[in-house]
Amino acid sequence: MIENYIETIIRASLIIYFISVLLYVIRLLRGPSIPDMVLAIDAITYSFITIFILLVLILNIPLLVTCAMVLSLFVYVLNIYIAKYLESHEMGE
Amino acid sequence: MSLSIIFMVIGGMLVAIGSFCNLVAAIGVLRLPNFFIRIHALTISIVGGTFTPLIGCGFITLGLENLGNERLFISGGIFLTSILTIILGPTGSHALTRAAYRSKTVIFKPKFVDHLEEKER
Repeated sequence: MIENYIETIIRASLIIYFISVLLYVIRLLRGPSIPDMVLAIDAITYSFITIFILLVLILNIPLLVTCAMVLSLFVYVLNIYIAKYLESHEMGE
Repeated sequence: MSLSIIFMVIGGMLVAIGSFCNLVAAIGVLRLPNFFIRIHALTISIVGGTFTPLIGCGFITLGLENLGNERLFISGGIFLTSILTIILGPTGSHALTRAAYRSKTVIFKPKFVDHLEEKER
């Protein structure tokens, strides 16, 4: 009985997450400078981490957890590289 | 049996709170006027919109009894992802904001007071 309520909550959350990804894409296309675009890409990637974890519970595919873990490390590397490039105009060795 | 019901109720509430926070963060990123104010909405999206539902999904997975021992693997991965997010997300956004202020690439248009500019002079 309680599984039906949980499944309803997860399906509604998936719809809300896809709507917020659309709003972030509007900011990504409209962003006036480079840090705004990086901010939008960060928010999109964090939303996709949560979408992958919710799809694990809906579709029962345990390997998607690994994809979410790699994505959460990729966002950190992107932030640090963009910050280093903006501050000193080089990408590191 | 009753422990799994408690886990699933807590997880469902956390997932609902997280989806609400992410919708608020999306509206904030779209509508706020300045980069240094939009970074607040990004932090709402990290802590409220990603960390909270991941903890909730870990509790839901612990409550699913019919998966057997596989649920421990899945919930361990989900908790590890949430810990990585809560440590690395605010660090990266802080570094991005600092670089954007130092390099003067953003347009700081509705500006009322700037104490850091007087300090670094």
